[in-house]
Amino acid sequence: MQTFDTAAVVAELNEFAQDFVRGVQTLGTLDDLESGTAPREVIYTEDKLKLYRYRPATAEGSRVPVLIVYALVNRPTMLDLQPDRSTIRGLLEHGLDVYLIDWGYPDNRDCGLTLNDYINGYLDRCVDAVRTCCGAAAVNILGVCQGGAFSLCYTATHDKVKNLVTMVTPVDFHTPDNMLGHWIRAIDVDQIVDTFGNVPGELLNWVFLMLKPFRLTGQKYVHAVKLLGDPNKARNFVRMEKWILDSPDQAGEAFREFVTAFFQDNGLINDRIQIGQRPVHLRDIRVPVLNVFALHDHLVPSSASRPLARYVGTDDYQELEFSGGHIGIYVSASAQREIAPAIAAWFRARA
Amino acid sequence: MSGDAAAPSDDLWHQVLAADFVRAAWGPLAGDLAAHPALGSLLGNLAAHAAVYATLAREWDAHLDDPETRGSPASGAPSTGTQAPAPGLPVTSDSPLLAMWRPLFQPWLEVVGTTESPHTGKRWGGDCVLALDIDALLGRIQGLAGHVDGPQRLSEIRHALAAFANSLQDYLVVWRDIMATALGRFRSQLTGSEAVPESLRGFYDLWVDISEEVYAERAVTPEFARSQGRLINAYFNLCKHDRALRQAQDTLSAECEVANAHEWEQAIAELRRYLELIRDTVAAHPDLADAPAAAPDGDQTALEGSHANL
Repeated sequence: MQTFDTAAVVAELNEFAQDFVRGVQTLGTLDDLESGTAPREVIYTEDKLKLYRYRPATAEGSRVPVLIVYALVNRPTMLDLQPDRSTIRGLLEHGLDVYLIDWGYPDNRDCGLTLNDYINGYLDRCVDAVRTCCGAAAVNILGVCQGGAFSLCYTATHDKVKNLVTMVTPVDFHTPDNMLGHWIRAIDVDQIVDTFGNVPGELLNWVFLMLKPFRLTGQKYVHAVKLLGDPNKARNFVRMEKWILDSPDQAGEAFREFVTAFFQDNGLINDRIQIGQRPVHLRDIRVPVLNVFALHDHLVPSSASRPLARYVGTDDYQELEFSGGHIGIYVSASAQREIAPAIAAWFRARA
Repeated sequence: MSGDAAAPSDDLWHQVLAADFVRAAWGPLAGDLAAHPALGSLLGNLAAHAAVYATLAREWDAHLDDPETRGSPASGAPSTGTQAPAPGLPVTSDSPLLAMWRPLFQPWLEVVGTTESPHTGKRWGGDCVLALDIDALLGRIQGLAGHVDGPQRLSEIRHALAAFANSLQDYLVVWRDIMATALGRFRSQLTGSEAVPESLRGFYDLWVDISEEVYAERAVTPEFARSQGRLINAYFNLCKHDRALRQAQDTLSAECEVANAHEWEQAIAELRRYLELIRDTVAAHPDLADAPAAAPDGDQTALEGSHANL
């Protein structure tokens, strides 16, 4: 029969405590915690939005322009978390001319912004700015998560997109393993928006943490104790924590529309989305599409992304599976090797 | 873990339950950390969190022989949802379930509980609700409602509070079921023939793996979504009432200020009329102006000064 060695456990706990003390001391000395450090310039601004163009890493003539459309939820620094974990740097190194929309931090003045404002307004004007900048009639778009859903709507209703990559993008919001999809269907979003105006970013953070509560509120920090004594590992950990907690409020009306039409009504696959005066039919997407998703994504399960294949009208549809999670697809070592090079190659093949 | 057959408990599960890790480890550490109160506090919180789980496990284990709960999902079998009788973990204000729930939900309650009362200067969403101390909450709101728009508002808030309390109770029952199922699987693993962890970290990771596994199964069910949705909707309904209450209170405060200003204007006008009366009186009787004041000597200067002010 196995027995429990109490003395060994006490020794282990003592070691844990010592690691803890060392980790806290290291945390007090950390610097260089900035994210989003790839060189870039602002080429267009409107309200709180900024459109960035990144400084090229390859010869001018061979670059393929790509506009990254990030989600309204969380911050796009995830795409350039640190120099050695950066999707954006990877795309630059593989010959792309990268543009990024930073939606900014909505405040009370923005609570009336709708999806029409975001997609047919801001996004369309950013596309025009990129077209002007690169002198092209149509642009390549890389839509990320909710930004991928926006990009699908935009591509289906505008003729300014040449190629589309969707990354960890929900399409069918009602698949059985979509925890967030189940939960949101039971939420009275009108009450939240009518009460708060904008939806607090911290509330969304809490929801995301509750997707894996034991890991994300407990185990992650217990495991971190062992790492924090190493300044480099501590820096990585803190940068990620900063990103997780840097969660903008959501413009109330846009949030209400997105929850109602996408999550609750599953309108993207049911032809029931209308952005402004433009009805969205995924079958109207006839440009080449690359659908990138993560097999262990707890936020947007691959089952929510895969159905895109059945609904788009293009003959040139491909998928790229990544063996990782919703965050790992940007920052893991394997993502650096696999994701940016594959996306860049796909775009370049259709330049 | 070793293969020592002389252990006092009959299986690893009960040995783990019997071992008081927190006390065993915390005792020697407490002295070392005395010079670092902040670190001690942080580590103390972690230890307290661990103790909550240990208490939860012991309480669950103690109720395994309860005839009313025997054969329930405690065995590790999947539950059918919130209606299933979970093993005897009572959902009370001092339950370890609530203590486990608190660190998970406190950030959320702090966010949505941004409903600072202008009167108490305190948030009324946090600990009070978590402790299910609805009476205290009602008392505070009753105090507010008495000043604002009366019994109708109070009745609505009372209903909103009752809905929240009920939904919280239901939600805790869902969690009780999740935790009981997880503990059942954990025990099965420790008492069965499967490989068991070699370290405390291993035990913790196994516990987290099993808990997440059970949670992932349950969190995608309509019952869980419905229960959690009811709780969140009920909480935001409370927030909505609180905001309305505060707006009404602000309006009332503004009305008070207007009323006060009106009283001041009336008082000033009355003083002016009094002043005019004095001047008219003095003008009608110039001899009075030159007469010595009918006051004790020592007060003359004071009276002159007082008149000068008029």
